[in-house]
Amino acid sequence: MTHPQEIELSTHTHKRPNYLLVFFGLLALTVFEVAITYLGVPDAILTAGLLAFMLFKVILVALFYMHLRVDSKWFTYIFLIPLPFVLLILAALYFEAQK
Amino acid sequence: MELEPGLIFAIAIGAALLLIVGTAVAIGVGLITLDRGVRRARLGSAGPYTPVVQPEEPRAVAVSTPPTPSPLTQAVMRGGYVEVPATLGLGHTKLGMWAFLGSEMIFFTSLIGAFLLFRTTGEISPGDLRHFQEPVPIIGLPAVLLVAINTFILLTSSFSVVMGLDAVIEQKPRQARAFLLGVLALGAIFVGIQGVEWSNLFREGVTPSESIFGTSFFVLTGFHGMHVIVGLLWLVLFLLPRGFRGGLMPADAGSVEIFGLYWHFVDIVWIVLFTIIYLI
Repeated sequence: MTHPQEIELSTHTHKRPNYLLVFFGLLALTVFEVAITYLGVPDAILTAGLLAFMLFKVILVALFYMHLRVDSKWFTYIFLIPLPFVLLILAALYFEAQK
Repeated sequence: MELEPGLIFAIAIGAALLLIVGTAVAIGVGLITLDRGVRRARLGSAGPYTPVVQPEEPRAVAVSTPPTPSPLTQAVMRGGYVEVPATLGLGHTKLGMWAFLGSEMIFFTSLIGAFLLFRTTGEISPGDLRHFQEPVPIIGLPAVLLVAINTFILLTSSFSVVMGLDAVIEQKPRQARAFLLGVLALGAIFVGIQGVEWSNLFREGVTPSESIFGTSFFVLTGFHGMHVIVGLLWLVLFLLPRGFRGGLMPADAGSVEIFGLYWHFVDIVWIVLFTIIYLI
């Protein structure tokens, strides 16, 4: 006897995100990043803007290309566990630079 | 501000210890959490995972049925890729790759952190970074624009990997092979352009031993470049031979997916390096 869930699995069509849209988004963000360095924006705003663009690109790749958006949440947790250590290293280096 | 050699050594040792302990703790916490999940799932389901729905006892099913694998994992499993544990629906290799990428995140953070430290203390000066505005001979573009083109190339290769994985899942082996060949070509071009940039810096007198800037720059981009080369070797030695022998079949989807995770991570590292080194 075929089970209802088995039927659902066997007829499941592989839905994929719009990879092309993500790709063009990444390209556009990179163009913006390079362009604003030539616009004479004040340093503080430039740095904040560039870091924001960078973070957005990283999130796009992780969510869509690495499939964290649709995949098991366990992988997201595993990927995020080292983040506190990352922050710890950066904080230690920051305080060292302030000496 | 001058740092004492002893202090630099202490920072390096501290960072290395943090790296090792952090990685061990991250993996340990991950494994313990997973183990708890597995035990919880096993409490209600004796025997291997079977996605069974019992509509007459919905409450009992909710307690005893282990978590359903994600749609992506299901798509990979349908193709015949069977290396998926019974309880949580997580592949061992995939889990291992994610844990490895977590440790890689800490590794690159240490290197990037050192670069930022030297920027903050002035040991890497704006004068050092002016090298990136100098035109590269033969090509005539400023180095930063050449590297921006290289960034496009790496982003395109990531796009090619996801399209390749989709082609494998959808049983289009020729298309999958073409996309993976595209990744190989784009990755090789990336390494080539990196070589052009390096040789330009050497010509301008920037070497790994010449200054703190040279050391930090070459170590950072060198380690990233090594990761790209390892990815290319992975393709040439393992995935593409399968693509040429019998074609990449749905049963190979898991292998392509694992490679993709690695490649996209390398892409993420480059996104960060491009901003931190060349733009800020």
